[in-house]
Amino acid sequence: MNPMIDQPHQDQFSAPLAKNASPKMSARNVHVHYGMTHALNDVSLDIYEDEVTALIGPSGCGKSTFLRCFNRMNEMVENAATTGEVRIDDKNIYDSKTDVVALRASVGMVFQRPNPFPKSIYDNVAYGPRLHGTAETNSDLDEIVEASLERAGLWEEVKDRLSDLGTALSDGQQQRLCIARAIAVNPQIILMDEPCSALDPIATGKIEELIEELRSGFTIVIVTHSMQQAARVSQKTVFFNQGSLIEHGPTVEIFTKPKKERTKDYIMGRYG
Amino acid sequence: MTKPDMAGTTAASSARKHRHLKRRNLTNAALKFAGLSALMLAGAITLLLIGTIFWRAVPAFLQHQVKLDVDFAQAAFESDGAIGSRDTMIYANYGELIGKALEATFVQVADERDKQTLRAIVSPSARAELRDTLLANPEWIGTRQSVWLPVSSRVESFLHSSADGPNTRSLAPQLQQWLAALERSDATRRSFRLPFFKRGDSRRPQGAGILGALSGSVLTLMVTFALSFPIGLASAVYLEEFAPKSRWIDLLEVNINNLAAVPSILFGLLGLAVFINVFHLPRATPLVGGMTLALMTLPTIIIAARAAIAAVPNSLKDAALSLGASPVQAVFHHVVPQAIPGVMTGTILAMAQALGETAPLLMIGMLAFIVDVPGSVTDVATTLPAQIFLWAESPNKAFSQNAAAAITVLLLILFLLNSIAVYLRNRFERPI
Amino acid sequence: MTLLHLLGFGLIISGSFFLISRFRLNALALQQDRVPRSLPRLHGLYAGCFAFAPVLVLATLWAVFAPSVLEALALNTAETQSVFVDALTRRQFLAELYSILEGQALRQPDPLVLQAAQTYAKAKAISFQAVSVLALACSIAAGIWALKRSTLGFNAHSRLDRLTTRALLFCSGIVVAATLAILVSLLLETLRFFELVNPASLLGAGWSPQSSLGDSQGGGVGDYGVAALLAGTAIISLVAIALAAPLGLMVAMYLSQYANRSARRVAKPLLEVLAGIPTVVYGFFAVLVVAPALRGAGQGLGLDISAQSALAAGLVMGVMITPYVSSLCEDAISAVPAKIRDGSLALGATRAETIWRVLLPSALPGISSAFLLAISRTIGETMIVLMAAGLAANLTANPLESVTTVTVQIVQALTGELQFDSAKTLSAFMLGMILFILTLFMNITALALRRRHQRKVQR
Repeated sequence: MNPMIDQPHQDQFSAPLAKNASPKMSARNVHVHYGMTHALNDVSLDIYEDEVTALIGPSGCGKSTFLRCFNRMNEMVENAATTGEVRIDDKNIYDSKTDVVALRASVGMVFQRPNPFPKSIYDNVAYGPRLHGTAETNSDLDEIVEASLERAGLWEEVKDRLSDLGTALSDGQQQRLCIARAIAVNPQIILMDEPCSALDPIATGKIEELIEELRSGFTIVIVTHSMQQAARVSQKTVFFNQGSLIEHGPTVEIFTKPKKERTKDYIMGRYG
Repeated sequence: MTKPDMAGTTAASSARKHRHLKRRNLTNAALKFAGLSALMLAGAITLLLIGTIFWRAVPAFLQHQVKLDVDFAQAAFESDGAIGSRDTMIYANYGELIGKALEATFVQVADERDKQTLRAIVSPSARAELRDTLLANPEWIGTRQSVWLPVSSRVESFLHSSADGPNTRSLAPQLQQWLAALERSDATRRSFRLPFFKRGDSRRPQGAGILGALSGSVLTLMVTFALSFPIGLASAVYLEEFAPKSRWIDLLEVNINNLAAVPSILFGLLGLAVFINVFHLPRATPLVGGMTLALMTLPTIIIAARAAIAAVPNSLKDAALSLGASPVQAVFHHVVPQAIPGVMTGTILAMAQALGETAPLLMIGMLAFIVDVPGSVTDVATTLPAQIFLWAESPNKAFSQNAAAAITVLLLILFLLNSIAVYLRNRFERPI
Repeated sequence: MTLLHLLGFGLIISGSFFLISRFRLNALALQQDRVPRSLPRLHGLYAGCFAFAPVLVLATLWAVFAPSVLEALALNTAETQSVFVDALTRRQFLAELYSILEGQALRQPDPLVLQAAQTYAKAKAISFQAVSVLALACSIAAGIWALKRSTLGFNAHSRLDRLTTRALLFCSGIVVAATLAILVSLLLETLRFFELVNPASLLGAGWSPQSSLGDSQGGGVGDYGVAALLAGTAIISLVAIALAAPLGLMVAMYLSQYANRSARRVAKPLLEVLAGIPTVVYGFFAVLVVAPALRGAGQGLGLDISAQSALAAGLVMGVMITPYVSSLCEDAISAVPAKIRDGSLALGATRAETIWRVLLPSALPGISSAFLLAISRTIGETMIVLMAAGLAANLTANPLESVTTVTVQIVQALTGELQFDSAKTLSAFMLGMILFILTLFMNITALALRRRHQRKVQR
């Protein structure tokens, strides 16, 4: 299993400005300020369907801030200001008409630390569908929960104890529960903010397998600290430094022949 | 540290150092001792306070009784030919029944004046007790039954003080002889005074109970809780989760903190001026009392609830938001349920504070002699602390014992409330 | 029909609108085969809220404003208007009117008052019926309007969010309203007091309020020199703080620096017990134990200690605030970062030296704030002084004598028959105003001190 050599997608990306596929998401001249701090400086990027895009860079480089632009979670921070355009399916989500709640229903997010609700496993997964009224009947809801847990690779482990507290699971299981919870809302995009940073290597391996399986059907953007992880799971890699986008392109190219000196230094482990 | 084989001057200086060190350690020990004694003093005062009050309360809880063979002759329950109807049982002359039973026990007493003295052994409240007992056992009519009846207050205080030492001047010598005779035949006992928990206030200390004041307190607290819990929680949620950062909100916070420190008596003045004079709500009722106390407890609850809400990790809210919950949904589905135990702890403590509060209730007239047990929030009522104040102000020693007994009940309830609060805090204070 | 009935009807109507809107939206979705933007039950809630709001608003407005409007109406009848000489007879008239309405009139009522009372009762009944009909009509109208708005594309959840946030804001406003209500009610009645009593007379020596019935002639009002009351309050507070400040500080210091876990586990609940005892119990203790004991001790030493001495009340009050002082002082001491304390200990200082030279100086603002808050509490304390201190004003600095306080006189002025036209009753509000200003000043200073202290040590 080596996602770095993934032929069909490799072809798509090697063609510059592929005309047949319009981007799923695109950012144009995005700036983010936290008070006086300029956290993100003029970032423009296209992200395509059915592939994993990894955002890498040293701590505080703005990669998480950029990720949170796609579901407007930046607004949760006191005195954060975002300018520029972020389009999903060619609709500007920073438009004043955009319903943030609906936006977040179509963009799932997995956080750095697993954060299941202190409710049962079942209720954790069922929370989103209940919120959005996706399920008509209780058996529908059961189906959604089972399918989501199945998809997140957790069903076999928890099917006999769905009424246990979600917080009672191990860290890795908790994180997969959070992924199942995000999938249950049936989003088109999943944002992952360093999903493995709190996990041990075995749990990390399971999550990475899961990401690979989820690639068909979801647009996945993942922020990661680990360059190995970026190389393992992503088809495209974006390198950030000090709030600016330095370089982006197919993962293979970024890791084998980076164009910019700074990217090269980071990849070689000179700083970060 | 000191080395004896060193030169003389060094030895002298090190000895000085040693003395110096010793003095410093002594000062330290003295300070520690002073702190410990301060703590001990506080403990001793607490024990003294609770001890004296409990000791004082004993005679109000326990009461001497005498055993009498009462003849429930049918003739006493006859009216218009019907025997033992409910009316005849209610209006029968129980004083006469008791008097006859006493005379039957002491057949040797013949003189009319002595017979009157004899009747003074049993409390006047015994009549009502006898009536209640018979109403519960109507089949007793026409039979002769042994019944325990309470002694009068004079006999009671004589018997209670004779436990400490002989006190012969307060009671007629004949009565003392008769009591001694009753004691010899095992016809006296000391038992728990249940009526204390079943009656309202009374002019006679022995007939007075705390049920009226207790239900007044419960009704008042119900009103207080119904108002201050939802309003307090809602304000806390707003301030902690939705309030924008602005000068007004800062002012609001200062306002809440200051309101928490406003003397309680001023809330009473507010209740009087606004609820009674402007809204014309009925005076001296649990409704007005509860509203007044609600305003008083509101800042306490808001401060506690804000702390509880702030302690809920942000990640829960973030998770809900990322799933497409609206901010209001995220807060009410996840943050508030997590904070509820903490909010409840604060609310229970605030309720305990309200339960012990007297001053504001004096202002709105909840300090009155009220015999009836209030049944609704618009009945005139008094509360437990107000009742304690009334009894404590009475020059009659027996009322002061009632006050001590009521304090015992109040302290037990407060202790219970505090224990529940501590239990909640320990039970739910776990990392999420 | 009462206010409760009205609210009940309002609930029924809004409940029906909830169901109607919910089912209507489900039907619409089925009919047009489109998913609604917000869940049907949210649409239901939206319509329900709208239907209930007019009822709630109108009922509240009626409860707040009806009494004063009805009063004006009852008084304005042409026959009664000539009766009033001044504001005081007006108040008497109203008092009698209300006693008739509540069925508590003691004597045969004046026909004029009886007539006004009938006008009042009739107007009340009619106006309430009108308000009820209006409220229910508005409720239905608002419900229908909400129904009309809720189409498949209608964003009910963000509307509901906004409604909820506003409701929460309103609840926060109640606290402000309470403060304002205290201030305004105190201020109004105080001004009324000064209509009867010359403000300059507050500087007089004696305090002997008299409840003369609306008689505003100079001699009948009584003396209102507050100096004696303030002095009494000050003596008792001083005694209390003189006991509580060293005791509380010592306890705090011991608990935060010397005590081990098990000692703390015993001491903390003990202090909590002491802090949770109601003030009426302390008052009872003062009368029952402390005052007689002090009197006995005084006789042994050849001193004449009053049965209601300031000393007894002050000492018991000192015990009452000791746990309060100690917990605030402990907070102030533990707010000093541990690294500062450890630094001192690592240099070879003893615990005592660390406390004395490092902890106390940096915790000083916090500790003074604690003392200020404690003094403010003793000033406002009522039950202990009511039971253990005297009733008669006595301008003295001797704690062995009987003194009276501001709070005692507030209670005294308001016990017995209340007459809101007599200087005696109104003097309670004047005293309340003094108490409010005094304590507010202390609390604001104390809280500002504490906040600055916390910010300073945390940096």
